[in-house]
Amino acid sequence: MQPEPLDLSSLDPTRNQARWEETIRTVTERAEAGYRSPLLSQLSAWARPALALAVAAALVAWAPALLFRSTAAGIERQADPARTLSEWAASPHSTATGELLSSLGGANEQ
Amino acid sequence: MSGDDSDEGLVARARFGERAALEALVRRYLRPAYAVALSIVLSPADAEDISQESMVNALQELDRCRHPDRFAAWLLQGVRNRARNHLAWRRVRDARPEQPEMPVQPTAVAALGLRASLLGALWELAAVQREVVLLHDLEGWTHAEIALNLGTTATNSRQHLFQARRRLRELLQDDAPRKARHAT
Repeated sequence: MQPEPLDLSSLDPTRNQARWEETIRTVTERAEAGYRSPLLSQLSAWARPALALAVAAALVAWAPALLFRSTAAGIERQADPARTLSEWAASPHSTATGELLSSLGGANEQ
Repeated sequence: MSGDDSDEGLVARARFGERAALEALVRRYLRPAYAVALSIVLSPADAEDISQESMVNALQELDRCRHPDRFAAWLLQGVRNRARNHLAWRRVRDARPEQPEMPVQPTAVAALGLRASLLGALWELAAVQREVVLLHDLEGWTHAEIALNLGTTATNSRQHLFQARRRLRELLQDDAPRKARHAT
């Protein structure tokens, strides 16, 4: 048979009812303030890896296109003697005869 | 808002930030959390801090509670861990053998004297006996509830309660004549 229970009410935190209600309110508010929705948690958990993947994919997709475009523009510029001549004409500097011939010759070769 | 009042239902609603569900969980389990913390640190003030911090932490990390129907066991394990950490920290801080909190002037207020006697007597019990007697006699938990949350059996819980009550009575009776002598 169990001995009679002891009076433990002096250890009861709810003896002061008003203080206890205040504690309940404070704890609830703190829990609510730090709450993050599951969707937000999932998104933030995946945000970094997703961003890293996106950057990698962008680099893979754009780098060859950018490289190709600058090379193509250089070739196009070299291959157009009319444009070269008009640039020289507009320029205040005189062009060497060798350069002129080379430019026209390069065009002729093509 | 109405809804499922089981732990599982409240946890599910609290996960979506429903204030009423959060408050219901606080009302249901803050006292048991305090009792468990008190059984370890034996200081009402520290037990209040530990139980409140553990409750806030648990509610903010509900996604980590894998078995919402066993929310209480999960919460109380967090309380035990935090209380033991606190005890270790207090031991280092005080650099002396751990002692239950004793009021500076136990004769100043009769209630404080009784509380100090109780804490002193509780200190003499095994940790599991303290937890069982506080959950049963202070919180009104059944042996089935205690067994579920302590990972033991209801029979064991009854046995711990029996031993705890008997020992506490012995200790408090020994303490009574000493107190009477001090009072005169």
